[in-house]
Amino acid sequence: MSWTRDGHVWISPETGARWLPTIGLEVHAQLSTRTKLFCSCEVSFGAAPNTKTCPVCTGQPGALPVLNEAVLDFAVRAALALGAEVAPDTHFDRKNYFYCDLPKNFQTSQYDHPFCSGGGVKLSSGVFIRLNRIHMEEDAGKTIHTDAGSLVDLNRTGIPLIESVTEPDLCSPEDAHEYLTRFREVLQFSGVSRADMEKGELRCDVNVSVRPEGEEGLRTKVEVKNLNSFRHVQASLEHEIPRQITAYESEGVDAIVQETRLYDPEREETRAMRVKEGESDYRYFPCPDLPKLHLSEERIEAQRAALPELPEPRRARFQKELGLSEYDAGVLTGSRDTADYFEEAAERSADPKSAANWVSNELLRALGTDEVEAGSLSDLSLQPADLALVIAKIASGDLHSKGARELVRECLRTGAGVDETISALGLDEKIDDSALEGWCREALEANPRVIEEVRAGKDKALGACIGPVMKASGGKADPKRITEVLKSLIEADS
Amino acid sequence: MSNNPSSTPSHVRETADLARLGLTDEECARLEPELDKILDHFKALQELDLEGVEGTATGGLQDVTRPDEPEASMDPEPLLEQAPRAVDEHYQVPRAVGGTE
Amino acid sequence: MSGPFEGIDATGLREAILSGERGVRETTEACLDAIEASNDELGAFLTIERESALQCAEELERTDAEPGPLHGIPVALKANLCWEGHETNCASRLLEGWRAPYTATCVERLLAAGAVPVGVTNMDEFAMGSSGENSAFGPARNPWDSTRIPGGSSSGSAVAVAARLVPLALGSDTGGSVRQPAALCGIYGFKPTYGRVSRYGLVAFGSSLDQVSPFATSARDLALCLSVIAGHDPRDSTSLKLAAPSAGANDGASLSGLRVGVPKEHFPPELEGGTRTACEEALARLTAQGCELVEVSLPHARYAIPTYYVVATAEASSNLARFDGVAYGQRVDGDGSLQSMFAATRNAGFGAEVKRRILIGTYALSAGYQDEWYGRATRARTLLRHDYEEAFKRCDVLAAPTSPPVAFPLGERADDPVSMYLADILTVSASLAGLPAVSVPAGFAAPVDDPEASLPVGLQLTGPHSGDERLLEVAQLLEATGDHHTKAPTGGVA
Repeated sequence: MSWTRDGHVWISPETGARWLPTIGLEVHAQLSTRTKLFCSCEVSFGAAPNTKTCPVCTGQPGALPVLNEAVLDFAVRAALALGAEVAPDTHFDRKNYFYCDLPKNFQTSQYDHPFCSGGGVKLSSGVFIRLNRIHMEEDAGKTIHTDAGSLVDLNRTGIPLIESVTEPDLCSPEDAHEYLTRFREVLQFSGVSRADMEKGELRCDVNVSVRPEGEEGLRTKVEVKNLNSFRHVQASLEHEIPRQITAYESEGVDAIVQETRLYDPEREETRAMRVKEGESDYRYFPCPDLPKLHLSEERIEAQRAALPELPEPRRARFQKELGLSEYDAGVLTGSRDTADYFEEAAERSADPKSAANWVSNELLRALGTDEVEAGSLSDLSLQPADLALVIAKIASGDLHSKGARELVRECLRTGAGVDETISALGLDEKIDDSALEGWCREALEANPRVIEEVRAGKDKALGACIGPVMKASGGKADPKRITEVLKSLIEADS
Repeated sequence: MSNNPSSTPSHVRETADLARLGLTDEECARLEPELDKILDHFKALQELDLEGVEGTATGGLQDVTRPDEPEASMDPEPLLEQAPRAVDEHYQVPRAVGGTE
Repeated sequence: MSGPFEGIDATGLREAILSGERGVRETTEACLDAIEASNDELGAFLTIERESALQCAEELERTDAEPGPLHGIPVALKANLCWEGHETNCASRLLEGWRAPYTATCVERLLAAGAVPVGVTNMDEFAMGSSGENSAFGPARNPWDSTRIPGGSSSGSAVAVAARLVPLALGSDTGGSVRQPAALCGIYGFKPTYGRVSRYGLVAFGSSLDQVSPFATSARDLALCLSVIAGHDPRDSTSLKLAAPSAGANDGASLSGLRVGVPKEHFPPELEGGTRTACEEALARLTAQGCELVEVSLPHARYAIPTYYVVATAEASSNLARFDGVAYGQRVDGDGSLQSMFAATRNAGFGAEVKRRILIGTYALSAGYQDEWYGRATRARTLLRHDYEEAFKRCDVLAAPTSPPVAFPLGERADDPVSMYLADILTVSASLAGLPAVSVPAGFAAPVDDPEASLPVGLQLTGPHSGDERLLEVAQLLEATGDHHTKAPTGGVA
């Protein structure tokens, strides 16, 4: 059955009825502190199981939590970056429930006094998606379900998280995708979270309900979990929305019950979890092991000062001050790392356009291939100062652009420095002027038609001679210089 | 049975389940009057005029934190050794239904 | 015949060791032998750590290092104090066989001071009880009359010191669990200001109430012990930033002019006659030394028991949730699912009193009841705190009996939990207010069931917040006026 859309409205192919989805997102982001929330174990990803634990994060009898100061700083900074208001007084509460990945069978979280309120993210359409709340909490461990039972790795327990919940302001799967993209980039740019979904640093659950267009109030919402990428978030909604509509249309107004469903990426559908065990009476109460917290004006101002330029304002500035196009500004603010790298290169070279070209076309491209091992620009062996040097050499004529491309690729491949590589590739070998003249004469002699055409005004014909001269020079001659010499020879003989 | 509306038969069972105490029916039946009696005794708390009184949180301290400096984690051996069942450096448990979260 | 430390306290023992009069190893051996000979009858110890104690003693004899303040002193540790490599089972089947993977801060400090831990003492399971009868491994017995309770929950530690098997023992006090058994066994028991001694490594019962607390046969030993174990611990967020007080007595200290507040609510009509008489005699001794008795009131005293039991059990219900058979303890499989494994493990592992308290605590926090129970209790607690603050405007210390009855027969109240709870009436308030309180031997009295018998009576002195040093000084000055503390039990030990 194919569904048609009219803006946010979904049109049922069965009945032609018009339905509106209402979507809220719950996003957990790991804060990129060095240690866990309540103990000094290192925050890590991919470590061997149960090697990043201690009595505190494994909930041994008698162990006690001690709050990581950096978590408060990062949390406050996140609040400021999202336009939320920081609460002056806050504390931690225990959320009590039983599960194998929760060593103490309570999660230290925040209930009625989260550290901030309000804030949100504006989408490109101009719609502002409001945040209902953001609070701090500790992460749980990881469970692998096998046929012989479940296996628990507690490395992840105790990693600091911020949990954010939006108001049900989102109206489409695409908007949900965009929200996540923008939310993530705010966290990354502000330096509070690397938010890499593949590493579990960002997790998202979706709450979605549908109702007939025009109906007052919201219908029952369904929670969808097990979403491992933004694409999955969008895809799960693209499945779940029509699923709910169809259910309502065939079974009536009570068709949908409040439940949690899991997204199955293989089948691209959501399915009901087996009966949920346990209740949701979490018996929240203030954690008696952790004194209250006061988030001072000093701390808030310090974090405000530490807050770097956020993605939107940075993009605007790249366009206005550095003359980039909207598209290029978008590419170069794809991550904080990219934006920082580009900006430094632009500044050092005093040539933002060239820097932009090099970063987009060569460096970002290389990151996506096997050519380099680095995962981000800051890991490259070629750093902004090196790039600025290359740009300067092109400007001064010491390098021609083709040679420069070769140079950059070789630098990335070997990790060697710019000057070193120029020598290694022989790019600094000066082409003897008389040798160049000689090769040019030979090329012209082999292509007399070129001389005629150029004399007739068709400069482009010179192209046919450039190749042979380049070849003769072992690829070292500057095409521009070749063109100059060819032209002058033609003119001289005329 | 119980005259105390605060603790009806279902409440003992419900409360026990919340706390994963796995009480047998016999235990529930036995505990119910005991708990009624105890709660009855505690209901003096309801008499107090607590208007404007804030709850006492722990201690009286505020803002206790530590620097974000890593320390070596524990060797997994001594912890996994004490686990009732450990498999492949993991704690093993009966198969869990995905999360009560 | 009493144990090897009759007539000598820890301070005196250390002097004897340093002067060469006694050897460390021989002292430890004599101690271990006496414990072994008595344990069948008195049940003070759950484990006797002969090998490690002798090894510790031998190392102390060999070392060139400066002797610490507890050099060579045998000490007993309550079974809820984590001691790496040793069984720390909290007298529960659930933790039977569990060896702590780390050591509690207070135990580390004892070891660093040169103490020789000789064994792990019996207690009420998970510190829940006031008689010693709630141990999963059989009760400890009062050395004055082994048919009677020693008090609880730190029953074994009280017995070990009272029977002169060790000069010093650590217990934990949440609502009276060291003061009350000290009174019933005729020795000193001291609960410090909340936060004075680190709770790191103390298996938690009521987190906002628990304190590690020593038993001794002299007041100066309490000060000595406090000087070793107290002091800020960065691993406990509720630890006060107060240095450990020094142990030395202040020259020229006197009781003259000391205002002793006598709270009328703590001399209730149901106080046993013998207890009242002994305490009044103790007060008379104070007056004779120049103290001024001041009648004070703790107007909310009648709410102390419900307040205490609701707060303590609520915290306990959360603290004991971790005992689920996943990472430590005795697992019992259920029907094959995780949640039923939790239930089967906890049902098999916890005794009746623990279950009772977890139920009360869970109920007090549960949805729909939390405001009424836990919410009101934490607010009532504030009123009780204020009562003390008011009282201390008019006096320097408070004095009252520690326990309404003297030691009653084993089994007499085992089926009456309410009457057990009510007996805590005189000790819970100081815990709720976080104040330092010490039980001192005040004399002897006949129990109601046997007019011929003579059993110890304790007087409890309570000080203002952080007034631990002065409180212990008062206890020492009071000690000098009488000799009850020197009396050791004669019966019950082979």
